[in-house]
Amino acid sequence: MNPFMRWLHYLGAPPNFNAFAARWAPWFFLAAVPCILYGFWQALFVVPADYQQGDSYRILFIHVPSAWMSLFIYGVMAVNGFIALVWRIKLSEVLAMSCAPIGAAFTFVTLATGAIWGKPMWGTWWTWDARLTSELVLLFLYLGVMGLYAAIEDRRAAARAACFLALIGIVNLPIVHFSVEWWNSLHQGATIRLFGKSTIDPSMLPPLIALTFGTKFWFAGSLLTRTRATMYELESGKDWVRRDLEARG
Amino acid sequence: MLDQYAPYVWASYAIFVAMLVWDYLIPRLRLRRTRRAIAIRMKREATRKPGGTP
Repeated sequence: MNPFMRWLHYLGAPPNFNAFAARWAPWFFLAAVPCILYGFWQALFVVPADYQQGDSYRILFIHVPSAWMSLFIYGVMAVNGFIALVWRIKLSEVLAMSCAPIGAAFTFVTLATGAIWGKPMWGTWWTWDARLTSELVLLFLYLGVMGLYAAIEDRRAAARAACFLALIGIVNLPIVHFSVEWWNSLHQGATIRLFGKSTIDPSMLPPLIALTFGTKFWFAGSLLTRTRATMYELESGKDWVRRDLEARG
Repeated sequence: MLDQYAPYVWASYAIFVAMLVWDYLIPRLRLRRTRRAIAIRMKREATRKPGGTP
């Protein structure tokens, strides 16, 4: 077994994960806060106003990273759901279930900020556009996963059922991403591409990059903290929890 | 500073910050509640077995 796989197996043990999460979660939050603050400062006070949209486009510096996170977190949830269903690893079950509320929160922010931007720019808070509707379906999928996990008393069975729903829902990710290409959409197409030419003005990139990294670090910190809290609840009768509690005084 | 769209911009950033604060606090409160419940249970178990005798 290579060292990375050995490390993953080591981390799979709840007491080891608890120690890892307790140590690293604060560092991820510490990395996230300056990125987010720098992104805010750039987005609100430094980058120039858009020649057509004026200052309203500044909303997009939180809308776009939140939308990316809504898709990214679903991917992380589905991968962990797959691992949990195939190899029955408890940590992956908890990681998948801990992704759901964070992903739902970012999806809510995406929809809310999109609506707030849409009112002055499109003249409406909401329209049944393909991108908006598929993003709303994504929010319902997150809520569905959370609801299913909460509805079944046996925590392992609940996690497996919710992981299964998460895996089915992954079909929605390409629909969200390609909706602006597959259908005539009011929503604008992609202006930033990893492969190919981006059409966004370079002066607008610094806040977007800072907030993209900031939200990623935040997610890492939040996922570790939430998983740790759930592990504590699930393993509350185990010796390692009592030892950990006694060590904390 | 900002144009007539300022209320829309500030409202959006306020929602984003409120979400981050919620996301930061909720798991910590859960962890604290669980720890307290376990500590109470441990104390109760300790009083049932005075002096740790079998």
